[in-house]
Amino acid sequence: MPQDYSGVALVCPVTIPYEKRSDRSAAWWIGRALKALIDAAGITKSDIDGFAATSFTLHPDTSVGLIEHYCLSPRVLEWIPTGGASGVMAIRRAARAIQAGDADIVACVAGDTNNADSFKGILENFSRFSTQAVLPYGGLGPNGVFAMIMRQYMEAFGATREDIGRLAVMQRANGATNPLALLKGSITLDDYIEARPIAEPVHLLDCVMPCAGADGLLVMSTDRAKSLGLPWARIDGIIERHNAFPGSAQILQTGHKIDAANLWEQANAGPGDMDFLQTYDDYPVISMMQMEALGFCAEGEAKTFVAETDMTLTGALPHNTSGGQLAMGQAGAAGGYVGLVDAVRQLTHQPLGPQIDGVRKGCVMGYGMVNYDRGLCTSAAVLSAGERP
Amino acid sequence: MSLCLQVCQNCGAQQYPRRDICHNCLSTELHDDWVAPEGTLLSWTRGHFSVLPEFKDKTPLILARVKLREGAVVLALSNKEVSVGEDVSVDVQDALLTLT
Repeated sequence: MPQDYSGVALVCPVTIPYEKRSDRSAAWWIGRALKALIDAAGITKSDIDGFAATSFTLHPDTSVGLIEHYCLSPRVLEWIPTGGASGVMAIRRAARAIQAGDADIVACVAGDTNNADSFKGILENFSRFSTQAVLPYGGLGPNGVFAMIMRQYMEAFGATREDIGRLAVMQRANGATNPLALLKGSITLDDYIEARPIAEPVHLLDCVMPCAGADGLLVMSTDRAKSLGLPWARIDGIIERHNAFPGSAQILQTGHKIDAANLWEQANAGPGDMDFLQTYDDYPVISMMQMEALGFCAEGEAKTFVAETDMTLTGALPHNTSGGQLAMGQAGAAGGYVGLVDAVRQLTHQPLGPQIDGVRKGCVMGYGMVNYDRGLCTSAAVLSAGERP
Repeated sequence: MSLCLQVCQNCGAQQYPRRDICHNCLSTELHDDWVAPEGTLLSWTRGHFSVLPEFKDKTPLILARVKLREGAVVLALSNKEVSVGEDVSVDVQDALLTLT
């Protein structure tokens, strides 16, 4: 079992309110998140000696370009180009840097802009395999590949659009309480079923809306958090797996499956101990696959689990507590931080909407990088409430 | 019907999408060879929107995921209705893998 994450604090979850379109750059969005982190912590820019960034629209720059842009001089620098899996990966690297004494305060940020040029750039240059073997095949974008995963899942496990739609309905109900959600209000199962087809079986309300925005948080020692008077969340366990099933045609199990037992052993807990669950929700069927992979239910049983479990904020297992990307919008790679920052908000009692009663522990999952026919990068963390000054 | 894919001359592994080195044994001895075009249809979608100008007036279009008999998984367009689990054959049409 890996070394634990004791002494590490996750603080200051921030979201720069998303906008549907933006003429600003990714550096502008990420820089605003950095400023929000400094203000929230009551520190100065020079206190930040670790920096981890994620973006899809920063090209040709990486985190290297950003530190010059912002005049930072970190002694730990990370570039985490893994989209939906990036948030958990960032806090893992940051936590290890804190524990080793390699850095004192690590800013973990993700952000992207969204306009016609940036959207075209992501589609055309997402990956070499995508440019070569996906894009020319009708130009369906990510919807096409996810649609094929969704159909394969539905056929394998006898799941219907109604089964999957129930998850979207509960999540949008959570999103209706989030003042930052770009897609306002809740939806009904009829709305979901009657939505127009995009790439069947994917319909409009399976899809996230591309937008601009940024999210971030700080990682520091619990001692530092205490001296700054900041409430914090702890890390109880983290796993990652990349290209989990190389050479296999199977795409219905996410990489979390391989390391699930390791995660629960680290956390000394099980799925039933979680007070909330944040999955990577692009698209709802992918959330269901993640629930199965970590053992919240058996493989193929998510349809029953979702039907029988109230996943709204007052339910037995609140899921995607901010409404996730289905409600917030997808600010590019910042989508890989949405569940993480909202988990820290809930655990530190700084929610965007209602506070979940009695919240002690929660699970955050990441899934990203569909280069060809599946998401290659997966990550998950169990977090718990630390002290609140 | 004929289908040509990258085949490793060292270990015989077939691969798709194209790579610079064998995904199995990391040999650089890769050649394009004829492979069996038959496979099983794993999944499909009917796409209603394309970002490519050349497909704008060709939607809705059918895209399929196929596991070839010899192992590679390919995405291919289809000129006909398809269903999961059926036997299919992959051809090349207008430089794109296509089920005809």
